[in-house]
Amino acid sequence: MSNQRTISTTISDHAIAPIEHIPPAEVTVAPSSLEEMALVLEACSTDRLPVLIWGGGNHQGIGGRVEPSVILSTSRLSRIIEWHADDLTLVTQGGVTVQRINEHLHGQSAILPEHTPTATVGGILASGAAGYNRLRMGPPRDHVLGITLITGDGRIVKAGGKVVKNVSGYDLMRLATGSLGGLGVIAQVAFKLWPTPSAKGMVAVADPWLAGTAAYRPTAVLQTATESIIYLSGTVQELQAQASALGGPLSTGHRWPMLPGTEPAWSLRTPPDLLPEAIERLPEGQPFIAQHLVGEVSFESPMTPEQVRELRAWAASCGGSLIVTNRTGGVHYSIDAWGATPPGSAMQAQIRASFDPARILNAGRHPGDR
Amino acid sequence: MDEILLELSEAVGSEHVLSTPLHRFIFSKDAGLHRNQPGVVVLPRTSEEVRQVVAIARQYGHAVVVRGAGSGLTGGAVAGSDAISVVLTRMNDILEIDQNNRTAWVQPGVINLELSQATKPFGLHFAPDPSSQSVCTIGGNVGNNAGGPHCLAEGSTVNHILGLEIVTADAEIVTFGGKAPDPVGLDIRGLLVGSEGTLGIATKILVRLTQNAPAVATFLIAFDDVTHATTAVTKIIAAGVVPAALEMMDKNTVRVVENFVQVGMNTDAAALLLVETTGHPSGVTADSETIKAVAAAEGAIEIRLARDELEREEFWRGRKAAFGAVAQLAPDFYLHDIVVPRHRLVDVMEEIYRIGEQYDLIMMNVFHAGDGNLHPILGFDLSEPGVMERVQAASKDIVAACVSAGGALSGEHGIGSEKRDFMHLTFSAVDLDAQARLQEVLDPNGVMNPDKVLPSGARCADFGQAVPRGAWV
Repeated sequence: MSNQRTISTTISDHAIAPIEHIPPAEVTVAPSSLEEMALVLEACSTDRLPVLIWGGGNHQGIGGRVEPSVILSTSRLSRIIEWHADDLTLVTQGGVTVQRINEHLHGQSAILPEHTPTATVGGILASGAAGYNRLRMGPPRDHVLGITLITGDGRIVKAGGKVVKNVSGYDLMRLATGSLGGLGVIAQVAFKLWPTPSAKGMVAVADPWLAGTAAYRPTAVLQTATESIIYLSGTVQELQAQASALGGPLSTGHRWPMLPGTEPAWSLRTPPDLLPEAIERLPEGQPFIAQHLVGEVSFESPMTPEQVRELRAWAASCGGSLIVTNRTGGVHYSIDAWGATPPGSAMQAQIRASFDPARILNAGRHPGDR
Repeated sequence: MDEILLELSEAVGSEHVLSTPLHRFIFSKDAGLHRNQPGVVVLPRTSEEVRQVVAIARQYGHAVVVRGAGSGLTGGAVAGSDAISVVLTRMNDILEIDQNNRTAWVQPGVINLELSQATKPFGLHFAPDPSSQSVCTIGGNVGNNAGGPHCLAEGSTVNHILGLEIVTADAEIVTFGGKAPDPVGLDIRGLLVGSEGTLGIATKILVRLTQNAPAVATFLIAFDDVTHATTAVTKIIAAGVVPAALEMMDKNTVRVVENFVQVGMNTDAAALLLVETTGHPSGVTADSETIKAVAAAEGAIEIRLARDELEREEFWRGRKAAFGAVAQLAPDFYLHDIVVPRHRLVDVMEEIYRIGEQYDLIMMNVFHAGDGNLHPILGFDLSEPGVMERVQAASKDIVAACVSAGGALSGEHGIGSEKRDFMHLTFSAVDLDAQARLQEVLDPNGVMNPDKVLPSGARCADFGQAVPRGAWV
């Protein structure tokens, strides 16, 4: 491949100023419609220009490094298309942020159960990254009803629909969730929403695993280095009854913990009942947030390669994984982001190639891309 | 065929290779209207036996059509005359119930209801509950992304599948997913669910189990008008209550069902809603109040709460027996499965009754109203000349009405062979081509349940202007 890459006018016509704090590229573009996005990607495929897809930038630290010629921003795919209270469904373009959706739904009977305000709809699905309330409300995988992808070679492909139940054709919604942009730009999404809970509350507990399994369908069971909290949603009476059964006072509302934001950040995933052991195995003294009954602990630590190897070996032995979720600041790190090649990796590569024949989309990020 | 029969017999045991005319006849149809006799029927017991069957099929160039209980409705498990019908009902072991992680590994032939019965002592159940749950298999549920009344609050089968071991078209065994969340790589287990046996055969299934609710309230609510009942459905949900189930039966259905199960349903009603709310006792109390208030405001003529578990079971027995009870009205019936956005339920229902009248067919409606998932039942007598043409024309009109209301072709029964030619109504040539490319990746030789789901020619669709430069079509 030549180093002399030319950026055609099809692409540069949509150029915007470079976005701050993102990897250097020859051009940053922000097409304003699905059709324009398709033309740009088609041109990038023809010229074999590596593309980094950019939404809110919240999940860009997952996976391996991408060295793009073109940054493709979804910031102009920002329309909220349909919202029906009767249906508890919402259709938006991929660049719409969680904050916009929250404002749009404010005071309504429905919520999208995601936390990160600046995250875009496309970014949430592409990363598959779930909010802490996934224990009760499910990860993004469970909320997506329909999807429109712009493939690497510029096809506009839709699947699913905007109804809450649908089995007609292959499930590209699940396939695209967590695909890290490898199948295409997530340009439009239909979501199933949750009814707004009438009350929210928290109870501090001593043993999060025991308390979490005893509670009736809690929203989340989180443990940090300093406390363990059961999060509840429902009616006031239900929250009071659950709190008294858990033996603790009820505090109102949900306050979610945050990690300090140092790099690198990691996610250790195990079967839920092994999470207490996973916490024991974390590097000492490092901040962490463990999601009990889900089986995920997020933490930040400059682990040595040896520590990474050990923890990965243990995770693999119980069917889990340890992945890098943030090193966007360019922290030099020679460790592979994924650790292991997923099962059916040849099949996975072929599936990606069927959507992105020139392999221009977020190349370097995906498992097995090294 | 002799040589292949011998090899199949070596793989699964000769007593599990069925090739007599009677056997081929028995396995020639599902619960729908399509019929065709497979070349041979095999009943493997293990994943390895399934793998061997696929390898043999591949070697001899025969198609493989996977089948569970045969309770599907769209011809998905009806095999071509040259195909091997792989029946998984002998693979019926519950391999593990993991109480701590609230999961179970099962073989695909395990019957849906039997799994929930087995997990009951642990206070857990498998949430998808199709009306056929006493006979249908988990493997079939995976194949069709099955739903059921309680999918309103809990989601369809795909939301409850954590891992799948599959036998690929290349006769390899691969496992995707597991008990740990968010497995690395593309979500191929999600892709496999609802793929109707066209992308691979699920031989072991890891399901998520759901906590049994400590409290439940089940209502039968009668209306003297279908529109009011339908409006109540959307208003209950718009009020922020997603009941565990929200089912509707129209007058024709109520009459035959009551005659059959005799649970005291209001046979004067034009429509009956079966509404169930589950959860923590105080949550159930609050939801019950909302449901009663909305129903009363919409002019309900009777609101009846199940007194106890026995009566609740009676209510549900009535709902789930509906399809069997149809026989009182007509000897044959065609059961439809379509979905519309809930806010379009009222006008689509009216259109469906109009279509029934237009084609002079008995029309019954019993369906998952909360999901907007309609099941119009067209009753008829097959011995009447020309009746099938009318049924087909009516069914085409029903699909068209749903699609124009922003709906989908199927909510839970799948596409099979019945609806593949309708796929272009909701998907463009480019959409279908992308699906066909996926199928080509997983099944390059087109041997896994061919001629299902995608219409013929989907891969070679004419894109016109959409063809990108350099793309091969």
